[in-house]
Amino acid sequence: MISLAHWNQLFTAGLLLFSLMLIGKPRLPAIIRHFALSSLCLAGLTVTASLLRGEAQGLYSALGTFAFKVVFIPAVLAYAAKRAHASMQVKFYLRPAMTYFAVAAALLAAYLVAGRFATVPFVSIALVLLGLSLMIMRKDLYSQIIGFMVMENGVAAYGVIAVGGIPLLVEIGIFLTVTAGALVMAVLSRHVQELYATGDTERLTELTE
Amino acid sequence: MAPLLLFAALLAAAASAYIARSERQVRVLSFTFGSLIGLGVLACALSALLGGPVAPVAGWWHADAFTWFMAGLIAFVYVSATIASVRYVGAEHHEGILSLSQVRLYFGLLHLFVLTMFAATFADNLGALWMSLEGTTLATTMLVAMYRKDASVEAAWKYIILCSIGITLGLLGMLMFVHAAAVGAGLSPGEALSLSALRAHASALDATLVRWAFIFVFIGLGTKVGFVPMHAWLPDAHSKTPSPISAMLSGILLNVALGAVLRFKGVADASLGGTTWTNGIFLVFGLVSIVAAALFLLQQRNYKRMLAYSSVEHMGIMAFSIGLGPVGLLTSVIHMIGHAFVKPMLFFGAGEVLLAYKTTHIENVRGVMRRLPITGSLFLAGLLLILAVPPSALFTSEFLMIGVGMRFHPGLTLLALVSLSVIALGMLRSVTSMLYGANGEKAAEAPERWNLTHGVMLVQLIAAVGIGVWAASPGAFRLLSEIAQSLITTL
Repeated sequence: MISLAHWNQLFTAGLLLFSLMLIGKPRLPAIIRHFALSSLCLAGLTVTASLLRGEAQGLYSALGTFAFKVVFIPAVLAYAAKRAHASMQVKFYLRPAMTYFAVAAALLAAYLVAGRFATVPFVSIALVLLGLSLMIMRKDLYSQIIGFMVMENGVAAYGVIAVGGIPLLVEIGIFLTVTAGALVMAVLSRHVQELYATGDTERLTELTE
Repeated sequence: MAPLLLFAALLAAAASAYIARSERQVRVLSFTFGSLIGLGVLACALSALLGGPVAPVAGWWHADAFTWFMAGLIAFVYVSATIASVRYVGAEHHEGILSLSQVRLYFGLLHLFVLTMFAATFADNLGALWMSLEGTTLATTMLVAMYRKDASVEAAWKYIILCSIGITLGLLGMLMFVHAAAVGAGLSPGEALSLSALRAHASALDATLVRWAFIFVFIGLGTKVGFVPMHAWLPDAHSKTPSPISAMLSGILLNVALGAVLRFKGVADASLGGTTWTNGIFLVFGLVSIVAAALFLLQQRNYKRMLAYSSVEHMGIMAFSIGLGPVGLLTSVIHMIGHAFVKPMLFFGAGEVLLAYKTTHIENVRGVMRRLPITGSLFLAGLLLILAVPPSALFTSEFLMIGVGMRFHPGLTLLALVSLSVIALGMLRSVTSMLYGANGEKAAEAPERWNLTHGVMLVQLIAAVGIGVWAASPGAFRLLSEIAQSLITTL
């Protein structure tokens, strides 16, 4: 019999694992799929963490995570990329070995930070750093959006694990804002694709000092 | 209740852009809504500030002297930018640069943008504060990308990505504050998600967690303020946007973000039992911003970027002043007023120059004084005011800042002073070549006529000088210190 605490650990591990895996994926659909899976784990984590604390409202929050981060945002990104005929092959800025080295460094940094502060969960620091490094290492529009969303998942995980019990109205507001952000980014990425005929942000060099 | 009414009115204004039938109707409706709402808020703000104790608003929103002060500034810039937009967007539509749907989008987003700024100012609930700050970015991204050219889309992309990263880190910082309050003061997360609750229980918060929380908030929201080195998006976004929007981005949005950071500074100071630690952060980032802006302004080839870097400089000056303690905080309040009046004026002037010359490159703009004598004269006056030539309000604040700074941190203040002089030289050099440089062509076109934008610029000019003179009077000192005090003692 698997206890609630086990599920909790399982979802935390999945949240981190799928975010780690998406960094190594060279194809856009795979990246989006792994992001959705990691968000699914976040939704699960929201349920187990709130049940462990003895609250019921985590269920609604998990539903919100599922609707927006597992279904809607990945669908919008996949649709926008398809409509803009974006290249499904994503460019690596660093070589794979270097990428994994950077990821390992990010995880180590997160481990050190979480070790110093017992109150700050490892997984959320790790996700924020992973999202940031994804945005720096990958030079294409959709990876940058996903990097931002991974960061956001890290912050949400902090809210779920360490804080917990954030009022539903605020949660909904944050979901809607994040979703609006993803929508605006998707629209803008289409403009970039149309103007530059590429999703490679290396080409965005008009504005340098 | 009152803030919700205001938000509803602004939503109606935004909707009007899509209800109107013609481009002219869009502009007329936006003009009407903009001036009515803006002047209404301005009247409320003035009566609240001059009429004695301010009634706080309950629930998600709150209002104290600093809130009303900021709301008044937003309202002033809103009205002037709406009027300038009516002329600017009309001219660009006439020339076929903007289509009808773009005009609708422009005015719709303009009112939404103002809504998010008011919401960020009135918010007491951290969730509402975060949403409205992210909302300011989302509402303006498509305005930055308005012209659908390579550079403007690129600027918009940089803008939304960098500001979103910043605001996400800011959310992490806010949650850390909430966490600290939940652990230290036993508040439920729902109760702790409020600036006034954080402030009331500040002494119970864990100092280490508060320090980290404040660092995250400072870096995160500081991205929106445009502190160096988080400023990379600012010159691009502010220079690629239609000029009246640049005016709002530079003139007031940066202040709104700084105001939010100041709220958290109040909490952190109360929790840490002193201002030394946070003041140090403000001093460093302020000084770095001033010095970096000086380096970029020395060799600037684009006049809208020049104005944008000047905003980085002025946010640096405000941060540096805040870092100097209570008198510095008062100084920064005066500086906020002066900057909010003068910077939009310069952007409006830049818009007129852009309409006439079709370029933002300084080297391609020559002989403005002959071709656009009214714009040129007003622009020159504005430039002198932004460079803090007396009787500018910015002279009053910078003079005070240097005075206080020399007492506490003479070395740093000297460095700031040298940078300010370099900035003055750099900007004067660029602008004189634009205004007086010989242009090959003759002034064949019809002489420039007085228009709406010139009227707005003149009002701003008079206001900036008036505030500078007024700020030295005892009554003004009382009011300004009340505003600064509300950041320290109450929420």
